[in-house]
Amino acid sequence: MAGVLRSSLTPLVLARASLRAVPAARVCAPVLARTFLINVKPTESTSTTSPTNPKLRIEKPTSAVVAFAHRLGLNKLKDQTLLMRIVTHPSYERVGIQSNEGLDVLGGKVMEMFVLEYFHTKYPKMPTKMLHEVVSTYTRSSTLALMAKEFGVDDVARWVRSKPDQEHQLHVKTVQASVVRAVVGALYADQGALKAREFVHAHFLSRELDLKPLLEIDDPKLHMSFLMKRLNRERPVARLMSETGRLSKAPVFIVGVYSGTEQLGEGFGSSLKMAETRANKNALTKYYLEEQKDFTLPSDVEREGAVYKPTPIGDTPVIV
Amino acid sequence: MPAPMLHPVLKNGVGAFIPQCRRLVFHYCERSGSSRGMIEYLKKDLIQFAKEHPHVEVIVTPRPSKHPVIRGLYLNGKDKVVCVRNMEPTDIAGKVNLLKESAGNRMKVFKKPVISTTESVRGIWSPFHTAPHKI
Repeated sequence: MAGVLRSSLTPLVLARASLRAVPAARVCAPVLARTFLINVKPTESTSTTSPTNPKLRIEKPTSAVVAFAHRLGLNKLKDQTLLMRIVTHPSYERVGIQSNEGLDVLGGKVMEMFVLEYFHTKYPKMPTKMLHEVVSTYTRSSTLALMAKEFGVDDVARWVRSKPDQEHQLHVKTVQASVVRAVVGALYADQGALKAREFVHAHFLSRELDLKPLLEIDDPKLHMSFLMKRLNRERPVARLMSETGRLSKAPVFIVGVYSGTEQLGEGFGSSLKMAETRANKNALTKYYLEEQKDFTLPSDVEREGAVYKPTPIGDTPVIV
Repeated sequence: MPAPMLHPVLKNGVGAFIPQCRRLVFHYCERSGSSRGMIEYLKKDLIQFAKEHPHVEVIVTPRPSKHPVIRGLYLNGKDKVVCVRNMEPTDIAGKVNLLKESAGNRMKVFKKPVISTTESVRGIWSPFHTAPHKI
């Protein structure tokens, strides 16, 4: 009797133990595909072979990938088989599965081109070194990895981690950046330059970046005098406009840089020299980062019935 | 000291709007009475909701002997869980909408009328840029 009872009890005990194991898994750091689905296998993509090329597998996109596509407007792609391709990193090697390598390379160049032409047209006098830095800030892998997180690439990207003994370790940020670039590449290849540009403008250029810290000038005062000489204007003179607390612990000086009677820049500081440097820096910022308000981009020529209007090209920075 | 790496900051809605809810998971029990409204909702309204919001991945899973629960997962990695025990389908639809519209952040009390990253248009008042007081 006791033996029968014991054998009938053990399955119940086992079941309870396995149920209890699930909350424990939930307590650790969230890897969402595993922890928050009980008894659900992540939906596998089904695939059939392409009619023309039997070695190529055409995959039906998973529900996560479809949601990702709708979030970014990729549902409008004419070739929907591109979706699974965009999210597949080359490290995910399977027979017949294509990776995003080609789209990654294409997208990277397209993205850089649209960002560059925008800043080149909007700030004609921006120094070339600064222009390169601005473009790189918008398009480098670390920024793309941040954007990928905001797009929700983490739960759709397909990749394989490197083995511990491999010398070049594949970083998750590289994979994330490749997916973002592949999205731009896919839009460019499938929908054309204008749609790709729309995407870049909407997702990249709408982001906020303060350009002033990127304008690096070693000696603003010296640079200013060279600039005025080039522009054939009166040499820059710094004038103290107002001050307070000169002999106290916290003095404030306001200095303006003038060319004749016209004020070029203004700066404040706790010493006269500091205020003068800031004033010169302000003047240079106003000159080099002069914004064009109404401008047509060179890629506007892709529009139907567009007449190309040449954009003004600014002067190169002063050689000090 | 090298300058910290600058990244352009996302301003959701300025260029394109990315809806923040990425997945809704519906748990229900086949047998218990508290899931009655939930099961009716799943049969009647859920497919329509899923069609209208294709950017949200909808997953339905039985969870035996537990109250019905809706879990919303968001792009910032956080989740929100709502228990819908003994609720009618209309109330459940309201909760689903709440989760769909949400952004995964904790509910905060906003004490300031305006929150902005851009400076004011007219600038902050400075005593050095005002005309001196005259009688």
